[in-house]
Amino acid sequence: MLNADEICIRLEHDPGHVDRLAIVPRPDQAILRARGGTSVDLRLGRWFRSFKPSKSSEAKLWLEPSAAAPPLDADLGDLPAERQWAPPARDAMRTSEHFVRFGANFVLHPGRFVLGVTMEWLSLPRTLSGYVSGKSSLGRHGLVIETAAGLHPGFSGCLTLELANVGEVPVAISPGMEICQIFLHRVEQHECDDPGTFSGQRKPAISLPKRDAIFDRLRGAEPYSAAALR
Amino acid sequence: MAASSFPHDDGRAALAAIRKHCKDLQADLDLPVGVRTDVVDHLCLNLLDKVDKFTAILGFILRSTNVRNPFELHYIVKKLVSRALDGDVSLLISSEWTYVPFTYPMSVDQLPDAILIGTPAPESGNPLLIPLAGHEVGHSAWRMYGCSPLYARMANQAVKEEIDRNKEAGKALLEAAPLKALDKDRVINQCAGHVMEQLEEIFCDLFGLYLFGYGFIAAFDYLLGPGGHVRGLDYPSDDQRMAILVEAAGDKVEGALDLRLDAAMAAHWTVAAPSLADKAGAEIVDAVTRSMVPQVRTDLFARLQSLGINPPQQHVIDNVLQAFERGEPYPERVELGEIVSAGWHRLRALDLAPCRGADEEEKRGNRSKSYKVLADLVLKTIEVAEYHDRIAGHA
Repeated sequence: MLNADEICIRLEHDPGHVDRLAIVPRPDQAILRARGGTSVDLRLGRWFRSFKPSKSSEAKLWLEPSAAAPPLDADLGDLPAERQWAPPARDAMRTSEHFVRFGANFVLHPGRFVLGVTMEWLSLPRTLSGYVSGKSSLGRHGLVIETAAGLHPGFSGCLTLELANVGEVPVAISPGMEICQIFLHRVEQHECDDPGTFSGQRKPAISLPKRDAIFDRLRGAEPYSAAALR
Repeated sequence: MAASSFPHDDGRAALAAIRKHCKDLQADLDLPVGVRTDVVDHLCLNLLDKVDKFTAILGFILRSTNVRNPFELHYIVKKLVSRALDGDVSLLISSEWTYVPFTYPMSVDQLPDAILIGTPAPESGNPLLIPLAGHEVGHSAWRMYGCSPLYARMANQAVKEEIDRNKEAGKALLEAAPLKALDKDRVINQCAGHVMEQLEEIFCDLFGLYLFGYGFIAAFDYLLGPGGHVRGLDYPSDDQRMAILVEAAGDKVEGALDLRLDAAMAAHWTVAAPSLADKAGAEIVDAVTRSMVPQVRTDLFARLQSLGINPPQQHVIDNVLQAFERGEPYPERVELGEIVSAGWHRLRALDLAPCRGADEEEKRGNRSKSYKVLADLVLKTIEVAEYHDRIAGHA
């Protein structure tokens, strides 16, 4: 795990340096060094995304065999994967975006959940990975930051934060406040070229599930075309 | 509408101003008993006419709350416009269903300080179109800087001189007037009026160019460039406008000339010609306009400089562009014109060839992602500028 000095050194590298870490806006390095910790505090951004109430009885977080019939002249064996497997019902995935200006609040009521985003845009070199965690000072008031936690080498973008109020009173959060912290680790061998699904976004993001062949076999699911060919 | 989630206070304030005005109109209907029916009908029609005019503005205000809009632009655009107009303004950034990009620059009676910028609805999330707002804000600047009285007399004199100089067109113009020589003053005034109209449009283009540099020319080429049809005398052709912009840009705006040459090669703009009946008049009006452009340009640029506004700096644009190429927002406080100019350079460096058919679906998908990432980088850099201003106590 990198200490404050090592983090600052990486922040000061010139563009193009293999170990260069970019955090925009830049954290105050004097404060970072003075605190002497092993993490960088990140601030809350201005975009939020909340889930809308849904008529669906459930939201399946995996792909189901498509129920939609393919075109009559389609060669079922060659049907592209996105026609064979259907994402969860749109109704179960409906969200609303919210923008909160600096100086205004977003109130998270007890038991509610919202996606937020860091104000900082991070660009990790291929030699670093990271872990994101909440701040205990906020957690003690019931505000839990359940982030994706793992940050892969090469990630570039703002971090989507999963914010939940597990306390008993409404909690006001406001853009610009310190919301989470990132711990950085050296990667021994940097072989990963995939910066991750959520790279390069300034708004909180949700993604459609990816196909998991092992899971599909375990639950006995078959794509539309295979079932139709039988 | 009042319960909408307004991203900034200006939208709510605009709505409150219109609401108050509507309440005042409603109070006018508290008539004493016994007023004649035809009077009441006339009054109601009059009020409905006023209310009707608000509906377009109300729709505009409502669409300004749509989360597809780039809300991050509000602070930096408002600050820039306030400086350029040397006073406080309120700003609404919204979308328009018609493909007319920007409307209502301080021209709504009940919202005298409001500038309403409407990007085309299909591209309301595209921050690279904002330079075109420079043109519309230019109309407000034209009025506030008192340009009409300043140039009207010059235009009148220059038209007289041009008619004397260009004997053929001058003679044709005067002969076309119903009262021949007796009508000379009216014809000259009419031509001078068209010169002033053309000058105002060119002034607005130059205003946009000064604030946004390459970003303005690129946005102009992208959205306004294609323009066929016969043109009236009140508007310069797109090609003329671009020529004036490129000349004003000189060698200080990198890429401006290339952009004009690319567009010419692709026959991107049609050079709209005046009708035959207007041919002689157009010759006189265009020549006078051309002769007055350098004066207007010098005055405008000096005025903006005196307000402490500098045009985008090429070395800063280069730095921002390098950050975009690395997939990072730029971390320093830079001006809006520099950010969008870098964005346009980056966009034009991407593969812009059309993707057709199923074979190129993946390519199309990757390109969409590249555009989206670029828009995010531009908007994050704009947010960083606001961040620095707030930290420094300048916001």
